Amino acid sequence: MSDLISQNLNMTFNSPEGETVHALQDINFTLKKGQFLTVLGPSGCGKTTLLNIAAGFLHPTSGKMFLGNNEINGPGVERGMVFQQGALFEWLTVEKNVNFGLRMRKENTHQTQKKVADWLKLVGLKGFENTPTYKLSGGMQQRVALARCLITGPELILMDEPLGSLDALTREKMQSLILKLWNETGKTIVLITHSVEEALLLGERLFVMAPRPGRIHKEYELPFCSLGLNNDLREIKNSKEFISTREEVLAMIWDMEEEIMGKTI
Amino acid sequence: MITRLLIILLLLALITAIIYGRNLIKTEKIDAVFGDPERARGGYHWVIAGSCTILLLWLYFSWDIARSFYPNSANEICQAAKVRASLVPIKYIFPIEQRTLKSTSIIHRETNNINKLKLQLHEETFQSKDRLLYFLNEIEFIIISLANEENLKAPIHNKLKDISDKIEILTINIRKKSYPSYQSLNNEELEGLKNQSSWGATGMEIPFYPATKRGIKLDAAAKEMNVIVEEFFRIKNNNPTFVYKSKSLQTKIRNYKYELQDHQTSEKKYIRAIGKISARVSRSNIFPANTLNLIEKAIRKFDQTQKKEQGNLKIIEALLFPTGKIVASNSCSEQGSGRWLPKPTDTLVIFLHLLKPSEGYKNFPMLWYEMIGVNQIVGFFIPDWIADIIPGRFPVHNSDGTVTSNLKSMVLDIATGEFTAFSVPVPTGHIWDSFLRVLLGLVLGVIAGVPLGLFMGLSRFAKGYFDPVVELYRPVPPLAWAPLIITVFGIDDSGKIFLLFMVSFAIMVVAARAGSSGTQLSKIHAAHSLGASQWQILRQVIYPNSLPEILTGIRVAIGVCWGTLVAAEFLAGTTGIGFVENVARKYMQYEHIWITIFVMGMLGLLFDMGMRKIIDRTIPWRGKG
Repeated sequence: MSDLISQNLNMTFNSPEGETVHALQDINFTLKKGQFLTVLGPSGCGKTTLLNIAAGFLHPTSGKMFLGNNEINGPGVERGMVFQQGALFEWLTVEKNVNFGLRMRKENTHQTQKKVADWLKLVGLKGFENTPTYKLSGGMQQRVALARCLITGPELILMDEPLGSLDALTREKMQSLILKLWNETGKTIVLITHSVEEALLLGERLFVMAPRPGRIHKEYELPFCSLGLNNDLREIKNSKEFISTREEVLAMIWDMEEEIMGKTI
Repeated sequence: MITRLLIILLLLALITAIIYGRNLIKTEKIDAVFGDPERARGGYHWVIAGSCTILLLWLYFSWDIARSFYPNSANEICQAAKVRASLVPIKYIFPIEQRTLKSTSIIHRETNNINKLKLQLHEETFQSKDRLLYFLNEIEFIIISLANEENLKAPIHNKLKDISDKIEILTINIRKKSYPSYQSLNNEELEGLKNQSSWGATGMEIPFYPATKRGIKLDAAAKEMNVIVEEFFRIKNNNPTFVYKSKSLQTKIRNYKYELQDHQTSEKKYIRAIGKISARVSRSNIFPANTLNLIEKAIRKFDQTQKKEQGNLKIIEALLFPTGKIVASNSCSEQGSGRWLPKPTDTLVIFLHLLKPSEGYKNFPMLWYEMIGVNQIVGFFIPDWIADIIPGRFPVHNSDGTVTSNLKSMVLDIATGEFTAFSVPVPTGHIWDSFLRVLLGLVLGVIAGVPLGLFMGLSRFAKGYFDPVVELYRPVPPLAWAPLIITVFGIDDSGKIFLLFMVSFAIMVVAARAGSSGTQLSKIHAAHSLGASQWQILRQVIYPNSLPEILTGIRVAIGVCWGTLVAAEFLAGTTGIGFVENVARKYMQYEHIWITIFVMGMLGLLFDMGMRKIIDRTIPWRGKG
């Protein structure tokens, strides 16, 4: 049972002007193993802070986060992370990027090579083993980042707007790929996004977060990702249910944005 | 001959490159975006064009084009310069290159002086001022007597006529093809001509004795002209009034001076001034205005004719002898900046001499090899104390006077290089010494500077602790450190290498620090969550991520190290390129100076090209991330 559990999580920052910013307030949730959570919200609602705490890059001001029975306290191999820009090591080839984690752990090179070949095949990059990463397109770079993260076998995968910088077509393909990988590996995934459609399509559960202080505003249980495994994503997007949910969430976020704008002006 | 061919080849290469470049521009898309870096790719034909331009400019401004195409021109111009020199004193008398006639300007000046003195004297109260005014009037009278044509006696008239006739005859003569119809060179000059080497040969700037027909003509004309001019200056305007008046005035002035008492200071002052004016007027040989007209005309005509006789020499001088001219007095020499620019061909010859390992510079080759026994190399690298730390004692001699060696003594033999071994070639020479110093200084700087720089980019302690040291000594110009460091370390290599180390160390620290502090946080986060340790992150992420900055730093450091090295070798030392240049400077060997400059430029270029290759190969992702 390695669920992701958040207990009374609070995070405050001191801004340079001396103001105290409440980035997260009383975040409580339990994410079961193998669940796909998407987090949506206007900018400044603490999505990335939440993810960084889960990854161990930040320590919460108060409260605790657990993965299984272990309290999260610093970065660890059991929690893999995928970044918006890929954060690939451009001085290494695709293959060396993918097996970076295994190399750092000094695993048997013979075995890792087989693993790398398998993973590259899975993300559709077979034949690009010796290509330097700076020669790849944005979508391919994200595939490398996915493979690099998954190859080390983390229990939890944290994705920080992984498709944010991709064009619409590549984005759709990558969404299918993520769903496929989730289905095949059965990993727990937390994905942060700006796109309402993406959040609805991918997430089994969806948190809509609200800013100032950052908190979980509303929670949804969604059926679309299980549909998406077998059906065309575009069809799902055009279904009535999808459209109505989308409009509801959009309206909610618009209200929040207006609230912020009203506050600042 | 070879130079001519080379010049023609250079011109052809330049023209071909330009035409090729023009055609390439025409055939390429003309709508290429301005500012696109792709537009600056390639273009090796422009490199050829640029190099050819430099070489041609050098050949041109050092007068080497003139020397190769017109090897006799300098000698002939030298003869023309002799003619010019012969005319200088006589031209000075006439308003040819001056504004006024010499006599006129003297009269004008002295009359002014007299009037000034008169005005001052009128203000004075002492008794003898009338006598002084009388002296001044007498001087004025002398001037009038000199300026009046009627006073000029017939013999002087005839002498002047004689001079102008001689000049006219010479003018007619030098137009003739057969001039000079006599042997114009004396025995000594003929001997000199026989032994005379060509223009630019070692120890010979410009051949002095005329070697061509035109040269002989100009030389003879100059000689004759010199005689005529001398004769002219012997003619004095000695009319009787002038002779009598000036003599009596001199006596009167002298008598007046005798009569003066010690306290009569203002009288003394006036009489001194009057005496000076009187002496100047009598000495300066004033002629009546129109008496010299004939001579002036003759001189003008002669000058025109001799210029015409120079023919294309004038054009050659104007076109192929830029930034200077050839002057003649007792010898001929080049003057102007062309003289300080050694001719490329001479430079090449000296360069070849320098490259010969047997000659070199100061008995040390520029770049060669020598055979060095492996034992010496081993002895150099293995420290002697290795033998000392082996347990036991060094052997003691036996009772029969022999010494049995043991392990300790054998190790010592190896450490000191006292064994026989085969020899291997090792490079040596001025260039190699300089190269080695730069390389050692640079490598030491990189080895020490990069880790510290990376550390300073990552740690608050390191940044704060080492910042004062590095930032305080870095801005000081290396040359300012040089005297101190050479005093501390001595004039051998260690001082120079330490100086270079200081230079490259500071640059590498700054570069590596910029590299490590510029690492994206997401990459470090990614490495963390992939399970890399701190050391692994430093080695596998931060270091390769800083490589572009580090390599750029090395590139900068190479350039600065070269500059510093030459300055350091200037100050002290017995080998190295800077040493060669310093010695050459003392002996004014301009060719050697140019060669050292060229060698340094080429070595710097080679270093930089190597670095560019390394950069392209090791960090191909730069600018593409």
